[in-house]
Amino acid sequence: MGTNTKTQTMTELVVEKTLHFQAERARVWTAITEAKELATWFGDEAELDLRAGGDGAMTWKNHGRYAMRVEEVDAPRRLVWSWVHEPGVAFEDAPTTRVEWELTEREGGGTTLHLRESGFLTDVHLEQNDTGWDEELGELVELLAS
Amino acid sequence: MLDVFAAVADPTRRSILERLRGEGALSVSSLANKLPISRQAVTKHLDVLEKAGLVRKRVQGRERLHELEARPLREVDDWLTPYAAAWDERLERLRIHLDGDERGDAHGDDNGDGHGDEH
Repeated sequence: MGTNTKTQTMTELVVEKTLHFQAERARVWTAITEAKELATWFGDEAELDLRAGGDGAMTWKNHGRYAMRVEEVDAPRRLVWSWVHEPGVAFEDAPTTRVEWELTEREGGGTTLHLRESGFLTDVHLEQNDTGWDEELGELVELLAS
Repeated sequence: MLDVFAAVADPTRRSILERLRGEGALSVSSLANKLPISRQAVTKHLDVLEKAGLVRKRVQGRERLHELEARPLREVDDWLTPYAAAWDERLERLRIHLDGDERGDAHGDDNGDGHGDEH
């Protein structure tokens, strides 16, 4: 019961959570998809155009506005969106992580939510590109010298 | 010492680490067998991993094996912890939003307002 944290540091960096609710699935779906509901428990303000490709954002007064984009909607089972990691930037301009929400009905009532956030550290590619270039230039130097 | 975050940012290097974790010490050719890249490319990735302290070389008989040194990954794990904690807070607020204040299992970690988390 309760929340399980699983962080995998190998194949992919992932945060995973499982939570059980007494509420039925349709109710949970509403809470995770309607902007008005999201603004009560997630951000201070929420925007969500609930369709694949739809834009959204989560805003915290103290932190700023984080752009989101909906990737999959399969009501009331599955929702996937990605969001940026820094406030105030356009979705296209920043590294994102992908958040998957899976709702399953529990025997005897209630709902299980499985949440998975993945794609962490892909922004390190930016730094890594530099070393990548160094390696490639090194190869070119070797090639020319041989 | 190369930054451990840069080392694990590459999916090929992560899959190398994953195999070393699952199968123990492996040679370059054994690693290259199951990857869609050349031995040379594997060697380069292993160099990067070695510079980050994530892989050690060991000679066994006539083979040169590479084995996982997982300790530096702790840093990555620590980095990820606040993200996991932020979800704990959000989902706890969602649970209270949906089910009210009563808890089915654990008790005592509610901190009242529950606001002001970080993304």
